[in-house]
Amino acid sequence: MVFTDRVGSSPTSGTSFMNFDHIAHTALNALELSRVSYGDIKVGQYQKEHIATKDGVVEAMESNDSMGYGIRVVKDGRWGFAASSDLSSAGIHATVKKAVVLARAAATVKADPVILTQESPLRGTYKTPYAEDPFTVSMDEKVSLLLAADESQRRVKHLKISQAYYTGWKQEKLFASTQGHWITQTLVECGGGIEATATNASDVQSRSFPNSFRGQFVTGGFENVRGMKLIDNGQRIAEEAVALLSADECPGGKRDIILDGNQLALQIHESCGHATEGDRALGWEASYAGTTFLTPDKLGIFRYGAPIVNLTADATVPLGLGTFGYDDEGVAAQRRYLVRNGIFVDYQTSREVASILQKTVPGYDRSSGGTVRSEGWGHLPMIRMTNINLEPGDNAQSGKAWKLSDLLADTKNGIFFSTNKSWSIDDKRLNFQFGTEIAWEIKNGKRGRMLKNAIYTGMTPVFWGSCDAICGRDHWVVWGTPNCGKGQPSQLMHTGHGASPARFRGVDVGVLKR
Amino acid sequence: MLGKQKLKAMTGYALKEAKRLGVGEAEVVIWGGTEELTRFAQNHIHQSVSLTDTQIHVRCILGRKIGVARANRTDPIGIRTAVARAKMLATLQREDPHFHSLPTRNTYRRISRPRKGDKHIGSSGRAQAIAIIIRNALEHDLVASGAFSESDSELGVANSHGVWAYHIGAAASLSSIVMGERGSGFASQNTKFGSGITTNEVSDTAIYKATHGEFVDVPAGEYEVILEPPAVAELLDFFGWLGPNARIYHEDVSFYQGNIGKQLFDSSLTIVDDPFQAAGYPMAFDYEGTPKKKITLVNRGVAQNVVYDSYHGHKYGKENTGHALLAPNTWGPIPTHMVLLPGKQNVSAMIKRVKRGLLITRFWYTRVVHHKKLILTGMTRDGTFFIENGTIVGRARNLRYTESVLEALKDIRGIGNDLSLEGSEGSPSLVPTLHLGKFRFTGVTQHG
Repeated sequence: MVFTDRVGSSPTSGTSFMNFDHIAHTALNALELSRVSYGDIKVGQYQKEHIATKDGVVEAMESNDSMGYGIRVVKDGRWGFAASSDLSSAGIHATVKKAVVLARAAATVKADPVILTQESPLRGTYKTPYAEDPFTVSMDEKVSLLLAADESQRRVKHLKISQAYYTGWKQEKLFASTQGHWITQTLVECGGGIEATATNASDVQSRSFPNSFRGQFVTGGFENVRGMKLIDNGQRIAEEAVALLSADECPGGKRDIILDGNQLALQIHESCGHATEGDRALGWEASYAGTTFLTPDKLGIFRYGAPIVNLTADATVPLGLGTFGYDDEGVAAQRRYLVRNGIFVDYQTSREVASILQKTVPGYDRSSGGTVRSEGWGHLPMIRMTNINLEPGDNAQSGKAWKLSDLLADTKNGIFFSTNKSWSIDDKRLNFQFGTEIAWEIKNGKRGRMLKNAIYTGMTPVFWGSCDAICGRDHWVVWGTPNCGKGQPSQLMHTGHGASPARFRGVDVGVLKR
Repeated sequence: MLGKQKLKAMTGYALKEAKRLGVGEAEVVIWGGTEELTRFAQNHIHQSVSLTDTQIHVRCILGRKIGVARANRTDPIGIRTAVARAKMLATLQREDPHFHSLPTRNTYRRISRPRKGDKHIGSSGRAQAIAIIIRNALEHDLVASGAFSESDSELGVANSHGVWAYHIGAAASLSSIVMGERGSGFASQNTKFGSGITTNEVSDTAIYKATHGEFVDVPAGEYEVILEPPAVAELLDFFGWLGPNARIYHEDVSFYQGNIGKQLFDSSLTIVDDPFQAAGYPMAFDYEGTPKKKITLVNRGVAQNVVYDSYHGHKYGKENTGHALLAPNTWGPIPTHMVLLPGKQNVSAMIKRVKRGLLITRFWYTRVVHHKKLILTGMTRDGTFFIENGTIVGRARNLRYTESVLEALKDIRGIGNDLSLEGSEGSPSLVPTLHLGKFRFTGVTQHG
C-alpha cells in the first residue's frame, strides 16, 4: 500500500461495501439455518483521525480504523447480540451461533416475547452531503490550522495553556435483516475547537470556542471546520480566560437567565433528550443511566414546558451530528415532535419500544421513530438521541422570533450564561445543575460585568415552564455533542441539538456563593 | 484469546516492519479479548451481548516526530498497514521538543494467578444468578434491574528498545438496582471471575436498601455523612485525575500544586496506588511497558507524590513511575490502582457515632465545579438514609451535593475496616466506608 500526504482513504475503502455484501450474505444464511424468528447484521468500517495541539506542540496525531460486525437475533422470544472482527466464514457462523446461545440463555428467565412493529423492509443508500471529504484534506493543512489557532491564543499575556483540536470520523456500514432490509450508508463527521486556560494560585478558568469539550462537530465536510474561524477567535477567548480570574463570582438568588445556544444545547440533551428516551420510560436503563420522570401515563397530557416550548427529534436536519438516512435497525430518518406547545407528546422509539407503547398506552399508534443506533459495529443498537432540537422562536408554534440583542434589552435583572463547564442531573432527569465557562450580568437591558463560576439549578418541568422567549432561526445552530454515554457496556454516541438563545424566568443561580 | 506467544510474534512482526521502513523508535501494543454482559430490567433479561475483538496500536517516532495508528485488522497485511500509517503520520508531524525516548527493556513482577475453581460461569450461569435476583425481588414486590458481566482480556506491549510485556486479565461484575414504592436500592460486587460473585448477598443488600425506612423530609444543608464504598470510589476517581496527575499538576491546574509535603487532609487518611493488591485487578506494567510499583499518594493526610509516564517524567525531570496510558495520552498519567487504606471501625459502630447525618449508598453524575478547590457536584442515588443520634430513622429523597472534597476530607470522623473493590478492570480502586464530619447538600429531588 502506497501512502501519500493526502492521508485518509483506508486500505479497504472503496472495496468495503463489496466485502460487506459477502459478510452480510454469509450472516443471513447462517441466521436462516439457525431458525431465528428475527435476525439482522450491521457490518461496518469505522475510521477516525484526531489531532490535538497544546502550547504550540502537536501532542496527538492519530488514526483509527476498525472493521467488524454485530449480529442481533430473536430466538425463543428473546434478544441475543454478538459482535466480532473475525471476518472469516467460520467466524461469522460462530458469531451467529453465539448470539443464539445468548438469546436462549436470556429466555430461561420468563418474559413476554419480543415483538417488533411492522415496518417496510427498506432497501436504500444514504451518504452525508459534503463539499470536502475531511479524510482527503492533508494532515499538514489540518495541523497548520490548529497550530495557528493555538498560536493566536498565546498572544495574550498571562495565558497558561493554549489548545486546539480536530477530529474526523467516517463510517461505512451495511444493515441487512432476515426481513429483507438492505441498506448502505456512508456517514462523514468532523469538527474542532480551541480552548484557552488561565490559572493563578487559587483558580483555574477556561474559555472555549465554538464550544467546550473540544469544539463543535457536524455531519458534513471539512468546509465546516474552515468556516469556524478558530484563528480569528483565539485571542478573544484567551483574553476572556485571563479576565475571568479576576471577575466577580456569580451572585446567588433567583434571577431571570438567558442561556446561549451552546449551553441550551446541553440543557436540551440532559433534560429533554434523555428524558424522552422510550427505553428509559420502560425501565430498561434503570441499572445504569436511570429512568425518567416522563412515564407513559404522562404521554399527551403532561405539561413539560411553557406553550412556546417545542422540542423535536429530527434526524434529517442538515449538519446535525445525529443526522443519517436510516437508523441501525433499518428505519428511515424522520422528524417528530417530542414536546409540542409545551405538552409532552412522544418518545424516541425503536421498533420494539413502539410496539410495547402501542399495546400499553391507549391511543398510541405510531411506528418506530427511527432512533436506534450503536457506537461502532461492536455494540448493541439501542435508542439514542438523533438531533433533539428546541424549535426557534420563528416556528409557527413558538411565537415571537427574538433577536438576542432585543432579548437582552428586554431583561432588567438577569444573567447571560454561555458555554458549558459542568453538568449534572439526577437519574430521573429532574434535578439538574449546570455551570458555564462564562456569564455576564444583565442590568436594565444591558450586558454588564463578567461573572465566573456561574451556576444555575432547577427542576426540569419547572425550568422549561419558565421559558418566555426564544430567539429566532438567525441564531439557531445545531450543536454537536460527540460524547453521549449510555448503555452497558457503555457506548459513546454522537448527537445534535438545535438551539437558539432563550430566556427563563426566576431561576436559582450561584449555588457556590450561598 | 490469542495467547502470549502469538502476541509476542505479532508485536515482533510489527517492530521488524517498522525497522524495515526506517523508523528509529517504535512501540506496538496489542490487546483484545471477549466481554459478555447480561442485562436485566423489569424482572426479565432484555439484553444479552458479547463482543470479541483484537486491536493493534503502533507508535512510530522519527527523531521527535510521533505518529500513532490503531486498527483491528491484525493479520500480516493489517499489521503492515498500521505500521505504515503510523510512520506516515510521524513523517507529517512536527517535532515534540519534550519527547525523549520510549522506555527500555525491563523485568516485571509476577502477579497473582487465578485460584483453583475460579472461572467464568457463562451466559446460562449469569441467567441463573439473575433469576435468583428477580425471584427475591418479586417476593418483596420489587422490580429488579442490573447487569452481570464477565470478560477475559490480554495485553502485549513491545518496543524497539527491547521491551516485551504480557498481561492476561479477567473481570466479573454483578450490580443490581431494585425499585419499589419506597424508592430504589443498589448493590454490586466486582471481582475477577463470575464464580466469585455471591448473588444472594448482592440481592439481599439491594432489597434492604430499597425497602428500609419510611421517607423523612431532609432539607438541603450541611450534614455528617457515612459514605459507603461506591460513593467513596467516585470521589477518589476525581482525586486521582485532578490531584497527583503529572500533566495537570505541572500545568498548575491541580489542587496538589504547591501542596506536596503539606497536611492537606485529615491525618487518618492514607491513599496509595498499589497495582499488586490481589483483591483488585493487579497489573505489573503500564501501557509503555514500564514496571509498575506501589506509590504513596497521601500519607497520614500529607500530599506525597505525583505519578508520571515516560513523557511527563522527562519533560519535568522526574522519575517515570509507570503510569502511562495508551499514547497519545492527552489526559495525563493517572493512578489506576488506588487503595484508600482501611481503618479499624466497623460500619455499624460508625453509624452509631453520627449525631445528625446521612448514609449515602452511592453518588451519581458527579462533575467538577472548581478544580483547585476540588469542588464536585452530583446526586445521591439508590439508598440515602437519615441518621439521628446513631440510628437510621428513615430514608431521604435524593439530594444534590456541591462540596469541596479537599475540605470534606479534612474532617474524617472514622474509616471503616471494610475494603471493597469498586470500578472497572481499567481503573479499579479499593476503598472502605468513610465517616465525614461535614458534607454540603445544595438541593433535593422528588424521589429516593
